[in-house]
Amino acid sequence: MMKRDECLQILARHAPDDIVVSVFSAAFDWVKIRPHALNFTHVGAMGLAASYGLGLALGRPNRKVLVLDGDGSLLMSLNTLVTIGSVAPRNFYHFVCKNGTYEVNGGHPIPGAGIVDFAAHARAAGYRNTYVFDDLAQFENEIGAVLEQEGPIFVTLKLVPGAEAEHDYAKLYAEENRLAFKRALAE
Amino acid sequence: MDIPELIHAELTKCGVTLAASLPDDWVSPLIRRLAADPKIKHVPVGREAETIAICTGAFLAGVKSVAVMGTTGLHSCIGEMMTINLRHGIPVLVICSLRGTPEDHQVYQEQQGRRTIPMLQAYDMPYVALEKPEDIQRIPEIYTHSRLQKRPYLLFLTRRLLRAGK
Repeated sequence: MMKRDECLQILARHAPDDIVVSVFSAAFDWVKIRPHALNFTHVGAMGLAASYGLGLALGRPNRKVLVLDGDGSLLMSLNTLVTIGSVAPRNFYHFVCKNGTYEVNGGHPIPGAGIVDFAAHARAAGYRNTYVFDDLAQFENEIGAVLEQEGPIFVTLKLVPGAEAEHDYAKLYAEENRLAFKRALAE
Repeated sequence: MDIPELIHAELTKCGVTLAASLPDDWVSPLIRRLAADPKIKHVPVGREAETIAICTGAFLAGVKSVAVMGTTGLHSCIGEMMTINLRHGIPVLVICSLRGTPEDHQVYQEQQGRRTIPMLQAYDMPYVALEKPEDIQRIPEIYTHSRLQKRPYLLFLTRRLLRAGK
């Protein structure tokens, strides 16, 4: 298992200026680790992070789009894997932060915690390549090459919470951030 | 031109280049028509809520898009439209069949059909129902209005309209 903040710090070094859609616990950590206009955190109900990412990837085919999904969130819309596998955007990189719980909703275990293999689902749905990381050193060594491949790529990150980030939804959903995101995309 | 052709032509005038869809039998001919246009990226989805999020992402990327679905699908993704588009002020135009009207003789459409308009009114989501072929030419102004509203905006295809093309 990797600590989430340490894992995302490595990812941020390899994705300094990419479009990143992130949700819930991963989003709080991500915006602290990589503050950037191209962070999109204005998600709504659980489960559709990958669909926002797909719309962005189709709209900006020359930029990489990374999605930092949650396992509880992805579980709510496994159908999105099939849609993305079918559309097969080459600039799409889908990470699931797998901790086996609905972390921000009280830490209850998700159905299939310890059993479900999201990478296998993604592979079966048509993602070009899939990976599973649970070791920080291995992740550091390999993530650069993973991000050099054509998408859609799926990566399971086996994580435990690390250093606590502030959970301030008013900041996460601030309108000025969304407007800055749209402006940055237009550049 | 038949009804799907007329709608397709007006969406083209709007600059729509992405359509995300899940069919019911009434909107199916329109989806086929959009999917056949090489200038439109058509994304078939497995659940209607995906269309809302895909169009939201496309909007942020500066791409004009439309979601296409049936009435039952609309009811299934109201939570997403509320928490994404109403909450964050992001427009999305949804073209949807208006099922459950007196012209619709499918019994399984009746319950959700009766509640569709009251539901939209409760959520303060604007809508327009196209009743006649000449209404279709309103689509560009409706598309512009949907952008100004910064909310989900429903464009309903009625049975009367779809029959007029037969």
